[in-house]
Amino acid sequence: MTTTSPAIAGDEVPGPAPAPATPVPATALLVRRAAAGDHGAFEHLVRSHERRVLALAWRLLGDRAEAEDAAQEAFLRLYRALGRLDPARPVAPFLDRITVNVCHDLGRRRTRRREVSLEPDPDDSGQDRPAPRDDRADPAADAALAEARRLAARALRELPFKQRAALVLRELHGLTTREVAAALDATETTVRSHICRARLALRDRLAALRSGAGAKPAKETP
Amino acid sequence: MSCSDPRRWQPKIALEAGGDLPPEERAAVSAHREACPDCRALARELAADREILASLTAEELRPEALDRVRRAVMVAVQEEGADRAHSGALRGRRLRFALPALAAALFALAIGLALWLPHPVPRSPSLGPAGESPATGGDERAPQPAEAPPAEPRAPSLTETPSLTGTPSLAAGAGPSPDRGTAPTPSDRLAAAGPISEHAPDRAQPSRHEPSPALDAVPTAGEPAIMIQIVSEDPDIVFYWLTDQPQEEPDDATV
Repeated sequence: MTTTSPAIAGDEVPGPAPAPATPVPATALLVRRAAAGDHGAFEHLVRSHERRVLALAWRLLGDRAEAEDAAQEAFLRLYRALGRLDPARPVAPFLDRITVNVCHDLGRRRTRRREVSLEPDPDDSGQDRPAPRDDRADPAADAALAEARRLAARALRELPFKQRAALVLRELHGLTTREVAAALDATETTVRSHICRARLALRDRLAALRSGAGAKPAKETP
Repeated sequence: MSCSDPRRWQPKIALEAGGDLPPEERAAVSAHREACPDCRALARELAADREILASLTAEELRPEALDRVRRAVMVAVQEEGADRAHSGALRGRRLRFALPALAAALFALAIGLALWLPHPVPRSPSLGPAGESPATGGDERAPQPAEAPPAEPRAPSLTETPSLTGTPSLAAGAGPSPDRGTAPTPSDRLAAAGPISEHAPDRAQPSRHEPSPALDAVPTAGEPAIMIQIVSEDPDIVFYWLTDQPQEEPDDATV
């Protein structure tokens, strides 16, 4: 079991993260140094947020290779925006927003590619599934959990992008409704509507997948 | 018993499942959920789905994936930083050479304009007739199409109407009248120009084959003229700017 990464000046990095060997300077200082051309400071920033960004991209795209591409692009956009960033403000919400936008763009391009190439759904092959944890003694329960996750990931990916993004940020990343609204550049009312619809749609989709009626996927939107 | 109004209550149950319901609605929704079996079942399903979703966060991201992303980002950042530094250095180097070159070009342009632009030549009693009047540097420019032959005699009456202003002669040298289409005669030009200086240089009839005795045209003492002398570091190079002060001429000097 891994540990949770330390919060840096108000930036909470959810999810498992290894504890850094050296103390990480405050985000404001890192942003100032990175903006001044200190690549080491920028690498600290990347280390502090890479897990969060990659996990968000993975959940939004459902594809490991595309998630890595999206994470790289998000960090590069952060680097190019360093001069405009307010060092006093946390970086994580800005990165969330960038990541969502990058994933949205990648998702749209992927949809167009699939419309042309008719590639099979990578999730059906299971090759893009995250590595299962091996801390369970019961292989049957482990397999059932893995199957439930696979179905959940598939149902999540079939949600419209804005509903998916709102649900992932709210449920998987633990953001408040206000933070989700900031990340999606939407109002809190709109975010509540997205979350509500996403939960109901996910329930319906999961029920259909469990009953074996999931062969016909719901309309996937970028 | 099914829900009395599922379209109203299901969205609220879905919001309640994640704690997203506004505080003022929580009591009413909770009361309905307790009384409605369908909504209770929906709440249970939503809670189970949320557990599965939460388990997705527990999935480990492979360390090699994180390393790949970080390495790729830092390589791209260093390349981008190097590009920025290189372009900045190039820009600075170009500026370092461009600014002196621009200054030199502007200086040369100013000198060229000063030599090329026509400017009034001071009238001097020592000068010869109009056809032999000294030409300034401006008279060395491109030939004017309406030039009259230099040997053409001038109207005698005009030689008797001395004027201290050289301005009319400039107007006369402006070229032919556009509605004529032919080169005007000197008398035409002079008539259109009005009074003209007796000894003013006729720019319509430049004596192009004569030297430009700019120094010879230096007005004698007591004449209303200005001479500007620009001395460069090289003692052999001296610029002179000679001009009248026509606006200060007395009106009664013109007939």
